[in-house]
Amino acid sequence: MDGPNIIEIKNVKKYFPITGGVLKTEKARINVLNGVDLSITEGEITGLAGESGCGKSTLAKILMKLLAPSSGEILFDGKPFSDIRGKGKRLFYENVQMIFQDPYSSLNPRLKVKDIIGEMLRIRNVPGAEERSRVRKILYDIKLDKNSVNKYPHEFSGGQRQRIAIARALIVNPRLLIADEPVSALDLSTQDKILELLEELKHKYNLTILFISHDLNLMADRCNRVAVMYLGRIVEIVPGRHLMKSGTHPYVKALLNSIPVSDPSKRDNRKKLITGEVPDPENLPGGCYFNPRCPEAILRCRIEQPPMVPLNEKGHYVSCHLRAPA
Amino acid sequence: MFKNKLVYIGWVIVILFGLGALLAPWISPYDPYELRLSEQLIPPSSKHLLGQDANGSDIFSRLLYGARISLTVGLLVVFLSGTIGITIGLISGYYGGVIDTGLMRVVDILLAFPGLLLAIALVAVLGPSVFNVMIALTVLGWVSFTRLVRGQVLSIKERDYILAAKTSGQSDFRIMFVHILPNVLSPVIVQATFSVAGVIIAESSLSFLGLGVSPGTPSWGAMLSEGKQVLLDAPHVSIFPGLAIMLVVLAFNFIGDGLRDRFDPKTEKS
Repeated sequence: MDGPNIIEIKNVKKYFPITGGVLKTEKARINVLNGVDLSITEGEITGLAGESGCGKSTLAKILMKLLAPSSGEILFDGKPFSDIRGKGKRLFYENVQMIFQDPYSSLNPRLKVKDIIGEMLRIRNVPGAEERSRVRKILYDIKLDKNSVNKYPHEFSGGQRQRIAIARALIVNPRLLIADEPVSALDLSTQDKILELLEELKHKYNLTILFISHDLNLMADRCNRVAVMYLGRIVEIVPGRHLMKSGTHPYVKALLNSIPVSDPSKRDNRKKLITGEVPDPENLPGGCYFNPRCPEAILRCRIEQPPMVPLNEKGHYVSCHLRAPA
Repeated sequence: MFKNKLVYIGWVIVILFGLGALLAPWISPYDPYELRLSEQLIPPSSKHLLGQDANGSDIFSRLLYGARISLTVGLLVVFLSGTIGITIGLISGYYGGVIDTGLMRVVDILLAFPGLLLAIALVAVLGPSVFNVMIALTVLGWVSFTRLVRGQVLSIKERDYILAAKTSGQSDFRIMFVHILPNVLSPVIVQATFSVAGVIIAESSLSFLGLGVSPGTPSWGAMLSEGKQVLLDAPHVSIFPGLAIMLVVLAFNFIGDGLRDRFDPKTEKS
């Protein structure tokens, strides 16, 4: 699974200034991303986990070039991200596509399905006949009735809408699909179907996927690697199949402990749950960002930010003073 | 139910006046320009349904021809100011930043002027004519559309389907007109119907003041102005054009109210 990296994110930061006064001077900063390092390997499903507000969606928007990073570098196929502009952008969007969390707001309510999907080809000057046949084919791939083309989004259920969103993204044959919480707005039975569909399409379309979610259970099953984010930094990267057993960062452990267990006899009442609130991104804590809530924090954690270090040869990395091998 | 009936009444009035204006040359009983100086200020009679004015011309015929000017100016000005206002509102709301700030200050300046006063000043500079009245009212009219559209654009431009459109690789122009415009159009249509009423009143006001049509041309405002001089002796000369203005404006307001209720998401599903 050691393909080339399709995306390399190097020390990316993003803050939003809060301005005030007549001169619009900067009064404070909301620090959303505070130095993210992550690479997305061709052919893999990379998971990105974290609580709401930790910066997952901001990172997705930066990767889609909807937002510009405040600092840091992103490489796409080894080339700097900032070089992609003007006409290069259209080509970039043939390589990278995204599906959104809420299928109720991600489809234009005034367009028919054939236009929502077909538009992707129309703006690339694909002839009408070819457009229609490709739309028909992709509807078959996402298992939607071919008579759906003349319907409007409101005539579909949430799961069907998400399929349409997937079709819109895949019709240009992208290499990388960014899936921002693609199933968290759907009910459980539909979630499974969409995930299975995504997995099937991954093979059919040779996709690399960045799978953003807050559901660790789900990611452990399906992702090659899972990166866990806290307050705009990645605290641990672990192969998906090892996540449940070897997730080791105190934050990741707390998250794993908070997953409900259905069998009462297997419940462990001594498990420590996470306490406190996520710190205010306007005033970041010194040292490790997790130290105010960390049950194991030592003095060093309050002073020095821990670097990301490898734990073993299997691609397990952690950013924690206590877990780093001596 | 009652509201619904008002909408129908509104449509009926507008259509009647519209037909009257369209068919004026065929259905008007007399030539609106014909002078019969021996029959001045005759009140409504069986020969002249709404009476005759100071020149002895038939008021009913003049009202029909006047409807042509009022409705044309009303619809054309709203169409022009709507097109300009919507386009600028889309650009302002979509791009934001310096462009938005600059355009909004222009809008603020125009809104700060008393509307009719600015129109009078403009027509005074350009010279009185129907065409110049339309220019002046368009210059005044676009700002309300810009304000409205800009606000709507701001409220939907962060929706996921707009982001999806941006990441499809299409042009900003296409995003604005294919993805944003159709989704902000409902309140704009409501605004447009109210604007038609406003423009008809403004045109009448300007014509009343002698800044609109050339003297003698039948326009509701000008007719009202002519009647003013003989208001006590022959009230019918001003009453009927006044009534026509009132009816048409009321009708457009009824239609606007109806459309607003119709587009209101709370009542949409009933």
